[in-house]
Amino acid sequence: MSETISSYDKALEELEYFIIANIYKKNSKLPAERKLCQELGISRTTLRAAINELVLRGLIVKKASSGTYVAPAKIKRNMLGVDSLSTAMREGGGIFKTIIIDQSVIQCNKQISRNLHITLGKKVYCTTRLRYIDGTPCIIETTYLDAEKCPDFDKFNLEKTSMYSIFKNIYNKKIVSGKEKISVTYLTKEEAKMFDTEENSPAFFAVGTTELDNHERLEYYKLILKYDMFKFTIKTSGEQ
Amino acid sequence: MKKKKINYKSPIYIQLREVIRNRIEEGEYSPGTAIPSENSLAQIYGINRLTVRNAIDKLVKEGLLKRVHGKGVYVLGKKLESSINDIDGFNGCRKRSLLKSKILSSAFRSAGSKFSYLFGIPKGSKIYAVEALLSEDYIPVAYEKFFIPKKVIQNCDDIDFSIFSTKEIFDFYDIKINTVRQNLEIIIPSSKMTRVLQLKNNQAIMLKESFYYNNQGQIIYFEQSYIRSDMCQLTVNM
Repeated sequence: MSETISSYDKALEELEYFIIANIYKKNSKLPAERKLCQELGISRTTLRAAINELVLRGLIVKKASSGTYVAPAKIKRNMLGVDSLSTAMREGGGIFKTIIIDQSVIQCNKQISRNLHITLGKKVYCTTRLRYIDGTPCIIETTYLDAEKCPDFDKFNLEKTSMYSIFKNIYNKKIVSGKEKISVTYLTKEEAKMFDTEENSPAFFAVGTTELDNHERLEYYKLILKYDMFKFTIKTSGEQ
Repeated sequence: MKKKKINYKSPIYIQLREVIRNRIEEGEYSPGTAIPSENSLAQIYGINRLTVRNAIDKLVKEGLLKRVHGKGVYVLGKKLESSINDIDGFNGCRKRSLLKSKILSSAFRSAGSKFSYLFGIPKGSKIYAVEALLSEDYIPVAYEKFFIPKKVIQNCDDIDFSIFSTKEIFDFYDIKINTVRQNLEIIIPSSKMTRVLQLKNNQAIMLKESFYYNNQGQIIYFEQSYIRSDMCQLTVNM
């Protein structure tokens, strides 16, 4: 049994091919509709439907006045090992700017207790940062730390110093593993304002903990990531 | 050493969406029970009712809460969890028979530019394409499309992909998987996907693409899962 695919699917796959094979470069303008229709042997309606689908998929962006472009590459949040988590994504991969939204000392509640493995009522540093990559605000990161493990954490300037360098150089703590849950949330008005986007836009919601080599928990964090700027990637071995 | 007085502040940056989420996770609002009314939440947190409603709407879309007309807002049970580290992903769930897989279509077709490029095979060679819907209690959880070149498994069309996971099938045929690369993105569903997954209120979905490589570095299997994020969350161990 052999099946031919619809002209719509064909258009979709051809366009996808041009993009994934980098024949159409990132951020470049798509060829004119007429030319594309001719090249792919499809009608204008079919082409437009396929383009719309790829807009939803985030491979193509439409700009109000100037037309249709190949979307910029998404930032990869690599889930392979903690090192890449801390360095490639959190500190590198573009120019980072950080703004402190909130920095407070709170009492450990049930939620934090369960995640940091410390008793209720203990002193916890809670830091919320808005982070920019290449000038675009795209991460809201809230981190909870046990004050006993990280004494005087509030004296550091987190807009200038990375948390990881503080863990490593000041507290001499090395993160060896972590766990994260990834789901979708929808932005509140305040978050949308920070991201300069619309309320209710979807966003990645990642909640995780990191552990030291003695299995002690170090961080409990919540990340909100602008959905159209990120993709999570992981490489696993087939030998399981 | 002089003892410093601790000044406990509550964080300035509080989002009601997160407050309610935390109450649910702490078990203070437990599954099957109603959360306090919008009016009382507005009073407790000193915010206006519209803000309360907006926060609840977001959690309804996320799949944590359910509005029951004329009764109130109820807490739903835990979402399905699928581990990204486990390359069988949902298939892992399938084996535990939590999820039912229904094959919507399956056929050999010819590879166009995209699949010729992905699989490194000549254009026009045969690939086996399968569409499947995974459901839990008749509620769709994910729509999957996967593709295998015919030269990898000649008799693809004889295999029942609703019973066995991909990994099991590759094991049967003694095909070694070297690595699996997975990408996870959030996308806005097309109208077709909205229908197939029975989505409501402008929900976004997750798209997970998996590429299986053999020892020669060739892709031998490609899968796209369109996942309802209100039904399922992904976990990863690092």
